[in-house]
Amino acid sequence: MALPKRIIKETERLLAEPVPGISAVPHEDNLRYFDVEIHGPSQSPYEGEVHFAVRYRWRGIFKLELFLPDDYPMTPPKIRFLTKIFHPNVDKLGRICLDVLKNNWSPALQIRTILLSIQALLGAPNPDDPLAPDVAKSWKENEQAAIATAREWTQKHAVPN
Amino acid sequence: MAVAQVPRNFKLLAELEKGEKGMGAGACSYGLEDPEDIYMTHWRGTIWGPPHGNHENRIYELKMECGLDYPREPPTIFFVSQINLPGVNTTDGKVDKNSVAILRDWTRIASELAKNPRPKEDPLSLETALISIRKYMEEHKKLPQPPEGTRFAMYK
Repeated sequence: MALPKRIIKETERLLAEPVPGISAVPHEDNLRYFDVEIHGPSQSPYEGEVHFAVRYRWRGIFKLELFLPDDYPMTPPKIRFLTKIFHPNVDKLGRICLDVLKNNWSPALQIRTILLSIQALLGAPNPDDPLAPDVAKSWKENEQAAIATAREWTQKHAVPN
Repeated sequence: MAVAQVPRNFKLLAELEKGEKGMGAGACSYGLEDPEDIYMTHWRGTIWGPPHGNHENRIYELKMECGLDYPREPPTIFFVSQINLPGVNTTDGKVDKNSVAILRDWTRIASELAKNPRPKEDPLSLETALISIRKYMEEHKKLPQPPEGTRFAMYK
């Protein structure tokens, strides 16, 4: 089964010139299916640095899975978090609410741009367009507490192996 | 034209979304046992007993397990509600996959689907499995049944 040129090119570039803090590796037995890792952006609750122990620094690493359906790039990639994350735009099954994955998708976008958008979403949670209503509610009612919870979850779940 | 193999997790997500929307006629329904089960392994199913027999007006509760090999391998299905049906284990309610058509043919159909273009409607899913079990119940609608609402010993 031949893989469309577009997908081959995107994959080659992802592997040859990876985006800093992001990796995407196709499965050997399904080249449309990628294992993805995204580092939590700095100065976000997903960064993963432990504040009071300066000598002990680490990055929050979030695992995701991505699939390019038959009609890609006419339709967007399918993608979700596998690592648990406390974020108003990510639900309990890791599904992501992001305009470029839905109505604002364009075939001019790529796997690379989508992953960058997700990394940016980690740095800028949007509780006004929530997918996880309970998380969004706590974000709006007490942002400091919500950020603390997001930080806790990062320390609990997004620890590198 | 290459046909994409939908990975297990994305297939199960699509099944979940279909199940959440409901299925019209409403002979069966299903959903995740735990809404945070990120690998979507444990499911609950419901079958409304087929009419004109001893299953009429009864609701049967089932549980289903999708292993890591799903959908190459069929789900493992158990009746939680007690039922008298050949091929259903009398202790834990496990459905013998050799008694229900779709479970018996599952692996063969799965390997054919891997080679040939996918039909519009997916023939292998938790929904089609439940529908197939309901049909099998209909074929045995005259068998006497335990009192309504009882569960298999394992789930009491």
